[in-house]
Amino acid sequence: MKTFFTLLYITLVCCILLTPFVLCISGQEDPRPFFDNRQPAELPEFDIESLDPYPVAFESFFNDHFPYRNSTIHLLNRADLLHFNKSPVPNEVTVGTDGWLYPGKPDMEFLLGQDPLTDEMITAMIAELNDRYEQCKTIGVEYRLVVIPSKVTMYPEHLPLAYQFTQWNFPMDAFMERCVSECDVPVLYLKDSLMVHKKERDLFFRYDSHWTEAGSYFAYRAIMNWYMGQENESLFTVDLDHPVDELMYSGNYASLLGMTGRWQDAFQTMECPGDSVVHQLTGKNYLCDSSWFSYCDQYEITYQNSDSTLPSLLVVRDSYSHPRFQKLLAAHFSRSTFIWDYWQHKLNKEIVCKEKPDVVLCIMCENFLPNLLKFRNRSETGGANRLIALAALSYSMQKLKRQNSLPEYLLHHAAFAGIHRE
Amino acid sequence: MLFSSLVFLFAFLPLVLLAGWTAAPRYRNYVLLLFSLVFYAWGGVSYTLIIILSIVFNYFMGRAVHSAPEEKKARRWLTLCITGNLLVLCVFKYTPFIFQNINVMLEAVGFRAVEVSDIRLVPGISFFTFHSISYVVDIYRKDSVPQRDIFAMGLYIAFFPQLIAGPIIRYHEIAAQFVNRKMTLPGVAEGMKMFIVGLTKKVIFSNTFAYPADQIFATHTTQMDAPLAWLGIVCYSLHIYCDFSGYSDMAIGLGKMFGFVFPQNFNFPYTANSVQDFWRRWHITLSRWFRDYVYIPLGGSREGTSKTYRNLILVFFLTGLWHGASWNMVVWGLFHGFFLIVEKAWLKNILPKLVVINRAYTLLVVMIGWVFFRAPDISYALEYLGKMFGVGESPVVPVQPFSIYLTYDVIGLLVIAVLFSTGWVHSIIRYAAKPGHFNSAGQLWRPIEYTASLVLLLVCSMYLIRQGYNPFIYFQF
Repeated sequence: MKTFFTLLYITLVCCILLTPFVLCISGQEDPRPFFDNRQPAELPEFDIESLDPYPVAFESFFNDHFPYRNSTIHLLNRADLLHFNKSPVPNEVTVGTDGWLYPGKPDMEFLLGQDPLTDEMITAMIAELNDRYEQCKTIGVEYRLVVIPSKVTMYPEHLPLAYQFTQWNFPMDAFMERCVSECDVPVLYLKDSLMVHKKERDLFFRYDSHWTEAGSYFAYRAIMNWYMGQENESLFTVDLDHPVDELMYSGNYASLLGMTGRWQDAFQTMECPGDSVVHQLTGKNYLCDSSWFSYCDQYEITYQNSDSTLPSLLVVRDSYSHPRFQKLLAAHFSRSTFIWDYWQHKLNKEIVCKEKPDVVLCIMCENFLPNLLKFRNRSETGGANRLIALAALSYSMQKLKRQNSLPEYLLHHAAFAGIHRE
Repeated sequence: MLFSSLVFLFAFLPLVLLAGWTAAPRYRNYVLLLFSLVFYAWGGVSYTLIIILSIVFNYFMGRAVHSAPEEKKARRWLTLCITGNLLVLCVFKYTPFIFQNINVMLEAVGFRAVEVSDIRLVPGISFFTFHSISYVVDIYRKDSVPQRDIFAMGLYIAFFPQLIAGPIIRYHEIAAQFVNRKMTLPGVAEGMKMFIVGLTKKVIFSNTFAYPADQIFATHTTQMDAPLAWLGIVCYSLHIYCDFSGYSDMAIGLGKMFGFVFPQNFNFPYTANSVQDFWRRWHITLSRWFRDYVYIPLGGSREGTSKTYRNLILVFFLTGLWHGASWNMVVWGLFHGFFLIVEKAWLKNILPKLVVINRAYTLLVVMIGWVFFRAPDISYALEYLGKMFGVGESPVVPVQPFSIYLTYDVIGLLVIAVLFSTGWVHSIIRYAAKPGHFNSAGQLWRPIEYTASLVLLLVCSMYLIRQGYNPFIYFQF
């Protein structure tokens, strides 16, 4: 009897170890698709002259194509979310209260001021903005910055309970305070303009990082009023109570958790008055690096208005500036070019020089603010600003510095897996 | 290759088990050595040359030591061999650290810093160097005879279960097993069970505690308060224990699957009643190695009090340095050495009488030590300790809420890990397994144990599958 159990146990362990192999050769398909929002790793080519990178590449392939990988991950993610109220990817998504989802821990730390902007960094950011302002001014272009508040800033009341008991120190407050006196660039922070409408409408999605149609509409009005210097009657009015279409939409946070189709927001599409005023041009003038930017079709979008007497516009944008928002803005300009520069939010001097617009608007969400330092392109300004370079370096190194001392055997593990983790 | 990786568990392990079990006994060592080298090469193909050279060098050195006609010559060969091994260890592990310190001194006196080419740490070098030294020293001491078969000797140095994280097996303990070992069904089943226990410790417990520990130790001390600092060190203490003892269990289990009996490496270290006792329970094989090959040759405790203390300090300095090339590790080692001396000098008779306090004292010393071990530098460690004990400035920016790390699973696993670390659960299990206690004939226990083990293997596999989950908010190529 004893031997029988022992033999049975050994057999079952071996069966478990061999199951993936058997599933693989039997051609069993995982019913769930790969939902990592990236390309699964490909089988690396075996090259005798370059053996060192092969194991890591093969292991990535092996992990990505493991039988029933996606179903297993989905099952565990659901267990984490529904039973432990825990994000399976805490660095990407934070699970708030009432079903609200927020960005992951690093972004939260920045947005709540736990990883604050230092005085040196703010000084460097303002220097960078002033630098851009001067460069634009020399060619007769006006440079402006619009900062979109994040969902964390707009809806802190749905943050996880743990964050409710901490003191918040929103980084934009310090930045704006300094900007008022030191920055040549006109800066609009949309928080106050949007807060006014917070009780009327949901301005951000629950399961997505972005603003809703209502949020973007109120932002459009605030931006144009600010640009024109007064409440302007020529601005479009959208009837938010009567959407032209409504569909259910799984936000990007829900997708990251593998809850696509299960956790959904109502996505209301409003009528877009800009549609009748502008038309999108099809030609492309600027090259997009498709090797690492997956939205190249949206890198450059240009609208033409029939009224050529209006000023022209260049917008350096991110994912918040969706097509209807773009058209609303474009309707007030003769020609509007929207550049999505891979979330770098640079000046893009070459494009500015070629377009020679009347105004350049850099529209970014506040969590990308450090990008003013991070992706600064020295060649654009013709010289290295040591202060900015140092501040950028210090920002990137802040955390790495405190994480590089693992005991040797843990380092070995990391080295073996090829993952010198941050 | 990590034991806790899909490619090991579902590709390498089935293949090596199949090959190891089906090969004729006389070819088993060759098969295992071949797989061990593949295992090693997986972490960096170019490093394999170093371990192969180390095997060849030590094989011939062992023979030279053994065949030396007189003691003096044997000693010369031994010195040459140890120097060679330590030199390799120094080059591939300590070069950056040595030059970092030299450069600090050079710059302090106004000279330009020396540039050193990027030398990467060779995986497992500390372990295979210590194995090599053990091999020649045991031959020199005539505790063993040199291996005739270079492949068997190579297997001692490079056998994959103990190659990366130990246990460190002294050659004389295992020499006979390379020639004569038995693979039995109960042995294989026992090995599998042990491997799965280790895998569970690593994948479920250690990885869960790693997140809060890493995040808290990445937090600037200006954002930290005492509860957060304590949570960080509690999680780290359990993380490192589950990680390291899990690896050792997996190694011992794998050894058993092929008929090898490796020594135990951990014995409920957090129940130790003194720092000395802690080192009898934590990384036991390393402590034994240092005792046999450093402490005793230095004179041990036979040459008076002051020399004993000197020897202890030296051994713990080296223990610290062995764990990592940084001053933190040295401080950690010396910190333990200091308490060992204090215990020897003053607390020897007091500690055993303080039944609960002695354990609390030991745990506190060990946890304070872990702060030096984990912190990136000594100043951070001191600030962190200040936060733990409420010393230093109050936080100047918003404090990180420690409750964000206390998710239900972390709380549950913390409780289980603490219970298992005490040894009580182990005693209960052993009691229940005895015939006549839980079940009349002792037959019911085995199926329960095996079923639990199989369930754990499935759960661990699922967690391992999710380790590769690496999603992006925007599509990435």
